[in-house]
Amino acid sequence: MNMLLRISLLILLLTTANFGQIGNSEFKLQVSATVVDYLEMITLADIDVGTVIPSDDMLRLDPRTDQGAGLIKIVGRVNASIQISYSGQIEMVNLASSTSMTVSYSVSGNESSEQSLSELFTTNPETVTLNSNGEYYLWIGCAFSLLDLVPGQYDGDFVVEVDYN
Amino acid sequence: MIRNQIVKVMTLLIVWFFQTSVQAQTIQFSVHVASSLNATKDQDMNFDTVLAGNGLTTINLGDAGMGVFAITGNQELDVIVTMTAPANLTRTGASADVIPFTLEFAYANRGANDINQAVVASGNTVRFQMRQRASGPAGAPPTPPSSAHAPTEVTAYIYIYGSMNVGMIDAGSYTGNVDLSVTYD
Repeated sequence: MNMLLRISLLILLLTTANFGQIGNSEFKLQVSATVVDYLEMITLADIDVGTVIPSDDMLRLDPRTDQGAGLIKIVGRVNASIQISYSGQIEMVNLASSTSMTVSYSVSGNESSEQSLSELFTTNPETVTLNSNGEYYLWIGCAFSLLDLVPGQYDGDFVVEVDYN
Repeated sequence: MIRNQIVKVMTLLIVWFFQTSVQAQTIQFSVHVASSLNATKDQDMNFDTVLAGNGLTTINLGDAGMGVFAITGNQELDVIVTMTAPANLTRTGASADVIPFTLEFAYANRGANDINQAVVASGNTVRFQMRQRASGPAGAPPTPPSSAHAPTEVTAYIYIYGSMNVGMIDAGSYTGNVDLSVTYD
């Protein structure tokens, strides 16, 4: 086979292979999503201590028993372990006189919505487990001195933070 | 006499080389075959950020997150496009969690990247004309490409969209690869 014929056959082979790729093509496309953890807190009831009268006593609202306790529902991943941290003590401010009072908070929690079955938190933060529906309930109680209490409306923020372990 | 013999030999050589050259031209002439078919991925499909437990999340035709392919080829030919997708998006890293998803696709073959001209494909395979032709009786077969005829090339567009169902799964990045096969009919 002479050189010219060899070159011609080589051109034929290369050309044939190239046409095979051009007429039939495979392409890839990537589908992507970024998932972030879902964890939500829903306030079902604010703390309600009712009307109080200044005295020498302390007002105590037990989160496990008092109807005036605040109630927060946490919703997240089923059976997930979460960490709950909360304000142990804050200064409330009288909106009229700007005088303050110190309020100590106590928290109890349970997987069910039965307040009487809730258990008092003894650590802060506290680690708990969401139930099979991804729910957990918190009851918020408080205690403050009624001594020298200035009449009026007091305002302050009780902060709860939750995160997955 | 001797002079004449030399002349004859030279003549034979010339003829032999000439014949070889003709053979080579014959082989090359037989190699006119197909039109080119090229595709470029304009955009991946991205569901962006979703909350775990969000449930059904959908990218509709025309939404910003849909995937887009551009196919360029002979306007006189038809193409067959086949989409192959896994059943789930899988998480990057150590987790068995997955996101079930289903995809659909549509094509626009009127020369513009315009979802308003898109035709939704039924199933995972569709055959369409590279450029939509007027309806009516079939015309003459397309002229094969050759040195004398270079067919006009057009671009058709493929749009990929669909839904996924996000359960209470681990946070992170979830991905899956979709294969598209494009070939002339």
